[in-house]
Amino acid sequence: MRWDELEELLRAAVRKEVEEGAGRLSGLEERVIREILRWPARKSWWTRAREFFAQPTPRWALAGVLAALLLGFALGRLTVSSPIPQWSSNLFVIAAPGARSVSVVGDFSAWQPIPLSDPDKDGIWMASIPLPPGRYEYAFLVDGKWVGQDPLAEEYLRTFGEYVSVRYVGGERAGLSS
Amino acid sequence: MRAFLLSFFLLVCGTGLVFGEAVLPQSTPPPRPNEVIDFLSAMGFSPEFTGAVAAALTAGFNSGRATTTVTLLFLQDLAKIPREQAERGLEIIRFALSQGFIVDTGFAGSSMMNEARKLLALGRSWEEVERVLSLRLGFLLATRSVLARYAVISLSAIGPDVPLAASDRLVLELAWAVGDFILWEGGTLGDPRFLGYVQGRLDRLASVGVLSSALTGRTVAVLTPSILEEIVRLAFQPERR
Repeated sequence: MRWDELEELLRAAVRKEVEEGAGRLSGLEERVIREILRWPARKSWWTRAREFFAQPTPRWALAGVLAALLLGFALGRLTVSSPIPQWSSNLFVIAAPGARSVSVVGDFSAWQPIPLSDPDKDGIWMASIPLPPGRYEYAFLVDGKWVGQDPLAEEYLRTFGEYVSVRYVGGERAGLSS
Repeated sequence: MRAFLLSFFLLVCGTGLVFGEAVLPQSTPPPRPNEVIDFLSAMGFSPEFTGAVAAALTAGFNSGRATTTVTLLFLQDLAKIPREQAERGLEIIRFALSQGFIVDTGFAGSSMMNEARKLLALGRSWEEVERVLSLRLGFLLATRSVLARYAVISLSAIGPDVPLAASDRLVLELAWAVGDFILWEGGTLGDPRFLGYVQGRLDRLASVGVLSSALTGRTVAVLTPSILEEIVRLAFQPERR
Protein backbone atom coordinates (compact mmCIF):
# COMPACT_ATOMS: atom_id res chain seq x y z
CA MET A 1 0.00 0.00 0.00
CA ARG A 2 1.29 3.44 -0.87
CA TRP A 3 1.80 6.12 1.73
CA ASP A 4 -0.83 8.40 0.23
CA GLU A 5 -3.43 5.62 0.24
CA LEU A 6 -2.58 4.75 3.84
CA GLU A 7 -2.85 8.42 4.78
CA GLU A 8 -6.27 8.58 3.10
CA LEU A 9 -7.47 5.55 5.11
CA LEU A 10 -6.17 6.97 8.36
CA ARG A 11 -7.84 10.30 7.71
CA ALA A 12 -11.15 8.58 6.89
CA ALA A 13 -10.93 6.53 10.08
CA VAL A 14 -10.16 9.58 12.21
CA ARG A 15 -12.96 11.57 10.53
CA LYS A 16 -15.46 8.74 11.24
CA GLU A 17 -14.31 8.54 14.85
CA VAL A 18 -14.71 12.28 15.26
CA GLU A 19 -18.14 12.35 13.63
CA GLU A 20 -19.40 9.52 15.85
CA GLY A 21 -18.13 11.24 18.97
CA ALA A 22 -19.26 14.72 17.93
CA GLY A 23 -22.51 14.46 19.90
CA ARG A 24 -20.62 13.82 23.07
CA LEU A 25 -18.53 16.99 22.80
CA SER A 26 -19.50 20.37 24.06
CA GLY A 27 -17.96 23.80 24.66
CA LEU A 28 -14.54 24.72 23.40
CA GLU A 29 -13.56 21.18 22.59
CA GLU A 30 -16.70 20.80 20.50
CA ARG A 31 -16.03 24.00 18.58
CA VAL A 32 -12.42 22.98 17.87
CA ILE A 33 -13.49 19.59 16.64
CA ARG A 34 -16.18 21.07 14.40
CA GLU A 35 -13.67 23.54 12.97
CA ILE A 36 -11.29 20.68 12.20
CA LEU A 37 -14.08 18.82 10.49
CA ARG A 38 -14.76 21.76 8.21
CA TRP A 39 -11.21 21.56 6.80
CA PRO A 40 -11.00 19.45 3.68
CA ALA A 41 -8.61 16.54 3.81
CA ARG A 42 -5.15 17.60 2.53
CA LYS A 43 -4.37 15.93 -0.78
CA SER A 44 -0.99 14.33 -1.30
CA TRP A 45 1.35 15.67 -3.99
CA TRP A 46 0.82 12.51 -5.97
CA THR A 47 -2.99 12.96 -5.92
CA ARG A 48 -2.65 16.61 -6.89
CA ALA A 49 -0.23 15.75 -9.73
CA ARG A 50 -2.58 13.03 -10.99
CA GLU A 51 -5.51 15.42 -10.92
CA PHE A 52 -3.47 18.11 -12.68
CA PHE A 53 -2.37 15.85 -15.50
CA ALA A 54 -5.85 14.35 -15.82
CA GLN A 55 -7.28 17.84 -16.26
CA PRO A 56 -4.52 20.47 -16.49
CA THR A 57 -5.37 24.14 -16.32
CA PRO A 58 -4.17 25.97 -19.47
CA ARG A 59 -1.87 28.29 -17.52
CA TRP A 60 0.01 25.47 -15.80
CA ALA A 61 0.10 23.37 -18.97
CA LEU A 62 1.75 26.27 -20.82
CA ALA A 63 4.23 26.76 -17.97
CA GLY A 64 5.12 23.05 -18.14
CA VAL A 65 5.72 23.16 -21.88
CA LEU A 66 7.92 26.25 -21.52
CA ALA A 67 9.88 24.64 -18.70
CA ALA A 68 10.47 21.53 -20.81
CA LEU A 69 11.57 23.70 -23.74
CA LEU A 70 13.99 25.61 -21.52
CA LEU A 71 15.37 22.38 -20.14
CA GLY A 72 15.96 21.06 -23.65
CA PHE A 73 17.48 24.38 -24.72
CA ALA A 74 19.88 24.37 -21.79
CA LEU A 75 20.86 20.78 -22.53
CA GLY A 76 21.44 21.72 -26.16
CA ARG A 77 23.67 24.65 -25.24
CA LEU A 78 25.62 22.76 -22.60
CA THR A 79 26.14 19.46 -24.34
CA VAL A 80 27.06 20.61 -27.85
CA SER A 81 30.54 22.09 -28.16
CA SER A 82 30.83 25.42 -29.95
CA PRO A 83 32.49 25.26 -33.38
CA ILE A 84 34.30 28.52 -32.61
CA PRO A 85 37.74 27.91 -31.04
CA GLN A 86 38.23 29.27 -27.54
CA TRP A 87 40.29 32.33 -28.51
CA SER A 88 40.82 35.28 -26.23
CA SER A 89 38.50 38.20 -26.76
CA ASN A 90 40.23 41.45 -27.76
CA LEU A 91 38.65 44.83 -27.36
CA PHE A 92 39.14 47.32 -30.17
CA VAL A 93 38.01 50.74 -29.05
CA ILE A 94 38.29 54.25 -30.49
CA ALA A 95 36.83 57.62 -29.60
CA ALA A 96 35.09 59.02 -32.65
CA PRO A 97 32.38 61.46 -31.52
CA GLY A 98 29.99 62.34 -34.30
CA ALA A 99 31.14 59.56 -36.60
CA ARG A 100 28.50 57.84 -38.68
CA SER A 101 30.37 54.56 -39.15
CA VAL A 102 33.50 53.10 -37.61
CA SER A 103 35.14 49.80 -38.44
CA VAL A 104 38.43 48.04 -37.85
CA VAL A 105 40.50 46.35 -40.56
CA GLY A 106 43.48 44.12 -39.96
CA ASP A 107 45.32 40.89 -40.47
CA PHE A 108 42.61 39.16 -38.44
CA SER A 109 40.00 39.98 -41.08
CA ALA A 110 42.27 39.87 -44.15
CA TRP A 111 41.72 43.65 -44.14
CA GLN A 112 37.97 43.45 -44.55
CA PRO A 113 36.08 45.96 -42.36
CA ILE A 114 34.57 44.70 -39.12
CA PRO A 115 32.01 47.26 -37.84
CA LEU A 116 32.38 48.79 -34.38
CA SER A 117 29.31 49.87 -32.43
CA ASP A 118 28.42 52.74 -30.14
CA PRO A 119 25.16 51.64 -28.55
CA ASP A 120 25.04 54.38 -25.87
CA LYS A 121 25.92 57.14 -28.39
CA ASP A 122 28.78 58.51 -26.27
CA GLY A 123 31.20 58.58 -29.19
CA ILE A 124 33.16 55.56 -27.97
CA TRP A 125 33.03 52.86 -30.60
CA MET A 126 34.06 49.32 -29.82
CA ALA A 127 34.11 45.72 -30.94
CA SER A 128 35.29 42.61 -29.20
CA ILE A 129 37.06 40.22 -31.55
CA PRO A 130 38.22 36.74 -30.54
CA LEU A 131 41.77 36.12 -31.80
CA PRO A 132 44.31 33.32 -31.51
CA PRO A 133 47.81 34.22 -30.27
CA GLY A 134 49.79 36.20 -32.82
CA ARG A 135 50.95 39.59 -34.07
CA TYR A 136 48.25 41.66 -35.72
CA GLU A 137 48.49 44.81 -37.77
CA TYR A 138 45.31 46.85 -37.89
CA ALA A 139 43.76 50.27 -38.38
CA PHE A 140 40.41 51.92 -37.84
CA LEU A 141 38.21 53.38 -40.57
CA VAL A 142 36.25 56.36 -39.26
CA ASP A 143 33.66 57.38 -41.85
CA GLY A 144 35.94 55.73 -44.40
CA LYS A 145 39.05 57.66 -43.24
CA TRP A 146 42.14 55.64 -42.27
CA VAL A 147 43.07 56.04 -38.58
CA GLY A 148 46.21 53.96 -38.07
CA GLN A 149 47.43 55.10 -34.65
CA ASP A 150 45.50 53.37 -31.91
CA PRO A 151 46.71 54.76 -28.55
CA LEU A 152 46.32 51.25 -27.14
CA ALA A 153 48.63 49.66 -29.72
CA GLU A 154 51.92 48.11 -28.74
CA GLU A 155 53.74 49.29 -31.87
CA TYR A 156 53.15 51.30 -35.01
CA LEU A 157 54.37 50.64 -38.50
CA ARG A 158 54.43 53.13 -41.35
CA THR A 159 53.40 51.71 -44.69
CA PHE A 160 53.62 54.10 -47.64
CA GLY A 161 53.37 56.96 -45.18
CA GLU A 162 50.27 55.63 -43.42
CA TYR A 163 50.42 54.21 -39.93
CA VAL A 164 49.13 50.83 -38.94
CA SER A 165 48.88 49.74 -35.32
CA VAL A 166 50.34 46.48 -34.08
CA ARG A 167 48.96 44.35 -31.29
CA TYR A 168 50.31 41.09 -29.94
CA VAL A 169 47.77 38.62 -28.62
CA GLY A 170 48.70 35.97 -26.09
CA GLY A 171 51.69 35.59 -23.82
CA GLU A 172 52.45 37.33 -20.59
CA ARG A 173 52.55 40.86 -22.03
CA ALA A 174 49.26 40.73 -23.88
CA GLY A 175 47.71 43.42 -21.72
CA LEU A 176 44.98 44.33 -24.17
CA SER A 177 43.34 40.96 -24.19
CA SER A 178 40.27 40.90 -22.05
CA MET B 1 -1.81 8.44 -19.97
CA ARG B 2 1.61 8.30 -18.32
CA ALA B 3 3.22 7.09 -21.52
CA PHE B 4 1.56 9.91 -23.42
CA LEU B 5 2.75 12.51 -20.91
CA LEU B 6 6.28 11.15 -20.92
CA SER B 7 6.36 11.14 -24.74
CA PHE B 8 5.05 14.69 -24.83
CA PHE B 9 7.67 15.84 -22.29
CA LEU B 10 10.48 14.21 -24.25
CA LEU B 11 9.20 15.71 -27.50
CA VAL B 12 9.16 19.20 -26.01
CA CYS B 13 12.62 18.67 -24.49
CA GLY B 14 13.90 17.44 -27.85
CA THR B 15 12.52 20.52 -29.57
CA GLY B 16 14.36 22.69 -27.04
CA LEU B 17 17.52 20.65 -27.54
CA VAL B 18 17.47 21.18 -31.30
CA PHE B 19 16.74 24.86 -30.83
CA GLY B 20 19.53 25.16 -28.26
CA GLU B 21 22.02 23.71 -30.72
CA ALA B 22 20.73 25.83 -33.57
CA VAL B 23 21.32 29.14 -31.84
CA LEU B 24 24.98 28.40 -31.08
CA PRO B 25 27.18 30.96 -32.85
CA GLN B 26 28.43 29.39 -36.08
CA SER B 27 31.71 30.49 -37.66
CA THR B 28 31.55 30.97 -41.40
CA PRO B 29 33.03 27.83 -42.90
CA PRO B 30 36.12 28.46 -45.06
CA PRO B 31 35.67 27.87 -48.79
CA ARG B 32 36.51 24.40 -49.99
CA PRO B 33 39.74 24.06 -52.03
CA ASN B 34 37.77 23.20 -55.16
CA GLU B 35 35.79 26.46 -54.81
CA VAL B 36 39.08 28.39 -54.89
CA ILE B 37 40.37 26.38 -57.85
CA ASP B 38 37.04 26.87 -59.66
CA PHE B 39 37.37 30.64 -59.14
CA LEU B 40 40.95 30.53 -60.43
CA SER B 41 39.87 28.52 -63.48
CA ALA B 42 37.25 31.15 -64.33
CA MET B 43 39.81 33.99 -64.32
CA GLY B 44 40.77 33.44 -67.95
CA PHE B 45 44.46 32.48 -67.61
CA SER B 46 45.99 29.95 -69.96
CA PRO B 47 45.29 26.31 -69.03
CA GLU B 48 49.03 25.71 -68.40
CA PHE B 49 49.34 28.66 -66.04
CA THR B 50 46.06 27.84 -64.32
CA GLY B 51 47.17 24.24 -63.87
CA ALA B 52 50.53 25.24 -62.41
CA VAL B 53 48.96 27.71 -59.97
CA ALA B 54 46.19 25.26 -59.04
CA ALA B 55 48.75 22.55 -58.26
CA ALA B 56 50.84 24.92 -56.11
CA LEU B 57 47.79 26.25 -54.25
CA THR B 58 46.33 22.80 -53.65
CA ALA B 59 49.66 21.60 -52.24
CA GLY B 60 49.83 24.79 -50.16
CA PHE B 61 46.33 24.23 -48.74
CA ASN B 62 47.24 20.68 -47.81
CA SER B 63 50.54 21.54 -46.16
CA GLY B 64 49.37 24.73 -44.39
CA ARG B 65 51.31 27.22 -46.53
CA ALA B 66 48.09 28.85 -47.73
CA THR B 67 44.48 29.03 -46.59
CA THR B 68 41.43 28.86 -48.80
CA THR B 69 39.80 31.89 -47.17
CA VAL B 70 42.57 34.43 -47.77
CA THR B 71 43.54 32.91 -51.11
CA LEU B 72 40.00 33.32 -52.42
CA LEU B 73 39.94 36.96 -51.25
CA PHE B 74 43.31 37.51 -52.93
CA LEU B 75 42.07 35.97 -56.19
CA GLN B 76 38.98 38.17 -56.01
CA ASP B 77 41.32 41.18 -55.75
CA LEU B 78 43.27 39.95 -58.78
CA ALA B 79 40.06 39.49 -60.76
CA LYS B 80 39.55 43.27 -60.62
CA ILE B 81 42.82 44.17 -62.38
CA PRO B 82 44.04 43.54 -65.97
CA ARG B 83 44.80 39.88 -66.64
CA GLU B 84 48.51 40.44 -67.40
CA GLN B 85 49.03 42.19 -64.08
CA ALA B 86 47.02 39.54 -62.26
CA GLU B 87 49.14 36.82 -63.86
CA ARG B 88 52.36 38.50 -62.71
CA GLY B 89 51.01 38.81 -59.17
CA LEU B 90 49.88 35.22 -59.10
CA GLU B 91 53.19 34.02 -60.52
CA ILE B 92 54.98 35.55 -57.53
CA ILE B 93 52.69 33.56 -55.22
CA ARG B 94 53.09 30.37 -57.27
CA PHE B 95 56.88 30.70 -57.25
CA ALA B 96 56.93 31.39 -53.50
CA LEU B 97 54.84 28.28 -52.90
CA SER B 98 57.03 26.20 -55.18
CA GLN B 99 59.95 27.28 -53.02
CA GLY B 100 58.10 26.05 -49.93
CA PHE B 101 57.40 29.47 -48.41
CA ILE B 102 54.29 30.25 -46.40
CA VAL B 103 52.32 32.73 -48.52
CA ASP B 104 49.28 33.08 -46.27
CA THR B 105 48.95 32.57 -42.54
CA GLY B 106 45.18 32.90 -42.62
CA PHE B 107 43.98 35.62 -40.30
CA ALA B 108 47.03 35.53 -38.05
CA GLY B 109 49.96 37.68 -39.03
CA SER B 110 52.48 38.32 -41.78
CA SER B 111 52.09 36.84 -45.22
CA MET B 112 52.34 37.89 -48.86
CA MET B 113 48.61 37.69 -49.52
CA ASN B 114 47.75 39.57 -46.32
CA GLU B 115 50.31 42.24 -47.21
CA ALA B 116 48.76 42.63 -50.66
CA ARG B 117 45.31 43.02 -49.15
CA LYS B 118 46.63 45.57 -46.62
CA LEU B 119 48.17 47.68 -49.37
CA LEU B 120 44.96 47.55 -51.39
CA ALA B 121 43.01 48.58 -48.28
CA LEU B 122 45.42 51.53 -48.02
CA GLY B 123 44.46 52.50 -51.56
CA ARG B 124 47.83 51.69 -53.13
CA SER B 125 48.00 50.82 -56.84
CA TRP B 126 48.48 47.26 -58.02
CA GLU B 127 51.90 48.21 -59.44
CA GLU B 128 53.02 49.13 -55.91
CA VAL B 129 51.54 45.92 -54.52
CA GLU B 130 53.39 43.86 -57.13
CA ARG B 131 56.65 45.63 -56.36
CA VAL B 132 56.27 44.96 -52.64
CA LEU B 133 55.39 41.31 -53.25
CA SER B 134 58.56 40.92 -55.35
CA LEU B 135 60.64 42.49 -52.60
CA ARG B 136 59.01 40.29 -49.95
CA LEU B 137 59.83 37.23 -52.05
CA GLY B 138 63.42 38.46 -52.26
CA PHE B 139 63.60 38.79 -48.47
CA LEU B 140 62.18 35.28 -48.03
CA LEU B 141 64.74 33.72 -50.39
CA ALA B 142 67.62 35.67 -48.90
CA THR B 143 66.62 34.94 -45.30
CA ARG B 144 66.38 31.20 -45.88
CA SER B 145 69.66 31.15 -47.76
CA VAL B 146 71.53 33.03 -45.01
CA LEU B 147 69.98 31.04 -42.15
CA ALA B 148 70.97 27.81 -43.87
CA ARG B 149 74.49 29.12 -44.43
CA TYR B 150 74.85 29.80 -40.69
CA ALA B 151 73.35 26.37 -39.91
CA VAL B 152 70.37 27.83 -38.05
CA ILE B 153 68.08 25.81 -40.31
CA SER B 154 68.64 22.90 -42.64
CA LEU B 155 67.44 22.74 -46.24
CA SER B 156 66.71 19.07 -46.65
CA ALA B 157 63.57 19.32 -48.79
CA ILE B 158 61.85 22.27 -50.42
CA GLY B 159 58.38 22.40 -51.95
CA PRO B 160 54.76 23.34 -51.36
CA ASP B 161 53.81 19.83 -50.27
CA VAL B 162 56.70 19.27 -47.85
CA PRO B 163 55.28 19.06 -44.30
CA LEU B 164 55.46 22.41 -42.57
CA ALA B 165 58.30 22.77 -40.02
CA ALA B 166 58.90 25.32 -37.25
CA SER B 167 61.74 26.72 -39.33
CA ASP B 168 59.30 27.67 -42.12
CA ARG B 169 57.54 30.13 -39.82
CA LEU B 170 60.89 31.38 -38.52
CA VAL B 171 62.04 32.16 -42.07
CA LEU B 172 58.75 33.95 -42.75
CA GLU B 173 58.85 36.08 -39.60
CA LEU B 174 62.54 36.94 -39.84
CA ALA B 175 62.15 37.89 -43.50
CA TRP B 176 59.13 39.99 -42.57
CA ALA B 177 60.92 41.77 -39.74
CA VAL B 178 63.89 42.56 -41.99
CA GLY B 179 61.52 43.69 -44.74
CA ASP B 180 59.46 45.86 -42.39
CA PHE B 181 62.59 47.58 -41.13
CA ILE B 182 63.94 48.30 -44.60
CA LEU B 183 60.68 48.95 -46.47
CA TRP B 184 58.53 50.68 -43.84
CA GLU B 185 60.71 51.85 -40.97
CA GLY B 186 63.12 53.75 -43.19
CA GLY B 187 65.97 51.58 -41.97
CA THR B 188 69.28 51.39 -43.79
CA LEU B 189 72.31 49.13 -43.71
CA GLY B 190 74.44 50.05 -40.73
CA ASP B 191 71.46 51.37 -38.79
CA PRO B 192 72.23 50.68 -35.11
CA ARG B 193 68.54 49.90 -34.45
CA PHE B 194 68.42 47.07 -36.99
CA LEU B 195 69.54 44.15 -34.85
CA GLY B 196 67.45 45.18 -31.83
CA TYR B 197 64.38 45.64 -34.03
CA VAL B 198 64.63 42.17 -35.53
CA GLN B 199 65.58 40.41 -32.29
CA GLY B 200 62.77 42.18 -30.44
CA ARG B 201 60.23 41.07 -33.08
CA LEU B 202 61.37 37.45 -32.93
CA ASP B 203 61.42 37.38 -29.11
CA ARG B 204 57.94 38.88 -28.97
CA LEU B 205 56.59 36.35 -31.47
CA ALA B 206 58.11 33.54 -29.43
CA SER B 207 56.53 34.95 -26.26
CA VAL B 208 53.04 34.64 -27.76
CA GLY B 209 53.72 31.18 -29.12
CA VAL B 210 53.89 32.03 -32.83
CA LEU B 211 57.54 30.94 -33.01
CA SER B 212 59.29 28.06 -31.33
CA SER B 213 61.14 29.44 -28.30
CA ALA B 214 64.09 27.10 -28.73
CA LEU B 215 64.54 27.89 -32.41
CA THR B 216 64.10 31.60 -31.81
CA GLY B 217 66.65 31.52 -29.00
CA ARG B 218 69.20 29.85 -31.28
CA THR B 219 68.49 32.31 -34.07
CA VAL B 220 68.66 35.42 -31.89
CA ALA B 221 71.97 34.19 -30.48
CA VAL B 222 73.41 33.80 -33.97
CA LEU B 223 72.09 37.04 -35.50
CA THR B 224 74.50 39.93 -35.89
CA PRO B 225 74.21 43.23 -37.74
CA SER B 226 76.41 41.82 -40.50
CA ILE B 227 74.14 38.77 -40.98
CA LEU B 228 71.12 41.05 -41.30
CA GLU B 229 72.98 43.21 -43.81
CA GLU B 230 73.85 40.06 -45.73
CA ILE B 231 70.14 39.22 -45.94
CA VAL B 232 69.31 42.69 -47.25
CA ARG B 233 72.08 42.61 -49.85
CA LEU B 234 70.99 39.19 -51.06
CA ALA B 235 67.36 40.30 -51.22
CA PHE B 236 68.25 43.13 -53.56
CA GLN B 237 70.80 41.13 -55.57
CA PRO B 238 68.99 37.97 -56.66
CA GLU B 239 71.92 36.81 -58.75
CA ARG B 240 73.96 36.28 -55.54
CA ARG B 241 71.39 34.06 -53.74
